[in-house]
Amino acid sequence: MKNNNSSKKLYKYNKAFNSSLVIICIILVLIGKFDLIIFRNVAAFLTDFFAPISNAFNKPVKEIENVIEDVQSVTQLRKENIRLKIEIKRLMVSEKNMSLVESELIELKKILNFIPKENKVLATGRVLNISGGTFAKTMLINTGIKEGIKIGQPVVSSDGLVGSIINVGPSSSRVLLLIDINSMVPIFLTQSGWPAIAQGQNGSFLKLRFLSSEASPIIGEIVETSGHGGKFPSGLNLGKIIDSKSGNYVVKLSSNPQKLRFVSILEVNSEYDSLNKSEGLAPLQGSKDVLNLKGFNKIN
Amino acid sequence: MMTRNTLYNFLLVQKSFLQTILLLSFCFIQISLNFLSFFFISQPYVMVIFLFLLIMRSDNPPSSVLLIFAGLFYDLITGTHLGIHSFFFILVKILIFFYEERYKLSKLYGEWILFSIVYSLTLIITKIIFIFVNFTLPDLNAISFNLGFTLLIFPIISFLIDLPKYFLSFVLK
Repeated sequence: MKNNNSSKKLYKYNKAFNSSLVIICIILVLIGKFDLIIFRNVAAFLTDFFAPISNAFNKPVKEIENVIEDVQSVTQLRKENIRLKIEIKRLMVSEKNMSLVESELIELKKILNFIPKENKVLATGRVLNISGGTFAKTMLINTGIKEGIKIGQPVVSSDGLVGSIINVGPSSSRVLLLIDINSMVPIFLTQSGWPAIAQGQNGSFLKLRFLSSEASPIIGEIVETSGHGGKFPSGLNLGKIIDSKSGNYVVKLSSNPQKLRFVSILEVNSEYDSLNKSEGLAPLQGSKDVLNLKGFNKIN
Repeated sequence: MMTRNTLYNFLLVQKSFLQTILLLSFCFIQISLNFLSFFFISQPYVMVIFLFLLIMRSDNPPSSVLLIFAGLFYDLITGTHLGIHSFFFILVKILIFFYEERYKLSKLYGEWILFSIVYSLTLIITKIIFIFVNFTLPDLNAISFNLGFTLLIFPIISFLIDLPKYFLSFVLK
């Protein structure tokens, strides 16, 4: 009987202990939602400190991936050869067309007095690791405060936009990839001409949000950054529209984060005037001094 | 002179230290998997498989506080929402003990069934919390890919860990 009582007590104690642990973890999750600077600094220090260890763990896996890629390319050599021959023929035709269009474009720019805006590359860094779990899609690169990297700067590869800097350490930075659920980029559909927001889903595609109901995207059309909001410069390639099985349009990224080895960080003008930058698109609303209490006060 | 109690405490600290190093290594192994292109949608949680085997096969399973810190560490170095993995690891441990003590699942049906139930439940509960925190539905394809792949590779990893044991028993026969 005494034994039974003590086991019941122990069971109750265990239950209370486990419940308190779960509650602590939920509190931690809620604290994480506040995005406190102290945690950012701790994360920056830890990523910087453990970057060489992480790099050492990644090396064998990278080698395995290289071997797999080599084997795949050897087995598909004949197929690849035929595909490349066809591709060369197609590119030769399009090159001729392109040169005509290019000369026309230069002429038109001269007429319009168009001043092209070039994106300045601040630094180029090596990809140290990519966290691709189901909860977050981020990437660690080996450039940091020393190279002048700041939070919010866009990160690009040779294929286009990759993401933006979310955390900076002395010699490493964390990049929020476009496929992360917290990533949102103002985009522009180049052929149909509609603006929208491309949001990550922690999967492999981007979801189109706030797309006008009148919009009818074309399958395969190129998606570029619109420049709205000033976080990303306009005209950066994101990917192309594909038709998902559920009937919604999604964006397939042109850059594959898993195959990235080097990325560049672009410098964004800090004195950005969001009202003037969105040329050709609907201007964004400026901030108002009056507090907007919907239904209680009237703002003209 | 070293008393028995001091020796016990020393061994306990030593075990905790080893477990800390093991958990950190699991974190780095998990991160390194992202370079493999065949896990193009989502990477399987190899770390959870290792953690499950560590809890199941160790005489002194890692303490809950250690699991919370390991989760925090993983969240901080991968840029995941803070506390998500602490919650994940704690839930894995609680569910393992719950199903083991109450239903003796691993003895009746094997470790794979126990892992499948524990992992599926943990992933679903954590995802629900994640959805509430972010107010956005994640890609279900990625979640199902992760779930399926993790459950599929569990017996392979378990077998690979047991391989030296099988080999030794075969040689010493």
